[in-house]
Amino acid sequence: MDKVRIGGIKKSYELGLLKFGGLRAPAPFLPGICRKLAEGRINIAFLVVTGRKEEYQVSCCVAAEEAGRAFDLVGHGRGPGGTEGRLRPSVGLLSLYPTRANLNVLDLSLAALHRSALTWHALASSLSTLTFVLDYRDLEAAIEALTGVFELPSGHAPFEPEMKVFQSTALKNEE
Amino acid sequence: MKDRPLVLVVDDDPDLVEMVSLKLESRNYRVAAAYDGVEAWDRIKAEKPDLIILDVMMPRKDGYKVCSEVKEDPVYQDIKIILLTAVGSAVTSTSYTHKDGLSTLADDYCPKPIDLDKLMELVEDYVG
Repeated sequence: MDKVRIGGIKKSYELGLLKFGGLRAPAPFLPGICRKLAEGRINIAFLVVTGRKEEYQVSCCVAAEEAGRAFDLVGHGRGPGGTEGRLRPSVGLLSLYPTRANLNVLDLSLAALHRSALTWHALASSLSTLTFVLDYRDLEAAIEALTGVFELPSGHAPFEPEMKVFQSTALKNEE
Repeated sequence: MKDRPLVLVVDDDPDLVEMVSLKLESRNYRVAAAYDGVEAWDRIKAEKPDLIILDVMMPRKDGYKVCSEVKEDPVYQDIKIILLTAVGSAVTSTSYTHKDGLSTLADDYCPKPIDLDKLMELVEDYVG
């Protein structure tokens, strides 16, 4: 079978996954935890809300070294409208792009991960990208599975992220 | 009949590349994409675009470096370059500033966050 050409695959640095289920509605819980993370100057690397009538789930990833602090900051989920959450300390994101609204990319990705017995915790799409949240230790195996069905361009960048962005409390004096 | 102009969009944010590409395609430009500076050079050599929309802060090779290499290479120096520059950052550690963008050999620049209509006007000015 011919491989499908895509623009690239990128993996994230190590993250922690904060997962909150059993929510009756996204608000006021979701704005509440976002506000608390912003006050704690913690960047959100991934955020997805899934659900239907009175049964919502929030999955939120932050840098692994800040995950414990983030989980404490949001009171383990026991805030207004929330329920006790769970913290998975070592996950990573794997992003494929561009999908160009081609459902075949989703189909092939799911099948490839399934064939390699790799489970994922969350999935989201954006304008261009399909992103899976997997256990960090599984990322290499997932890349191997995906490169078995997708062809990457020559000169493709290393899968490893080169930059890691944290918020600083120091402000620069612009001239 | 002359081919429609080819625009190479280079940014390490795939969503930004897609957004700009869709807009360019809707205006009948041909579009190629690259997601860092090294990949950009591969596309430049393979496809010789008419114009490059080039981000600054990218892995492996940044936009300033790509811009100088293109403009100093007699084979490629005629390619127009619009640099996507971040307006003065409040982050102490950043080494990329608006002023640096203005001091490159780029033909023009467009500040981030991008105003797509303004960017399209610039593209139109150079290769429309």
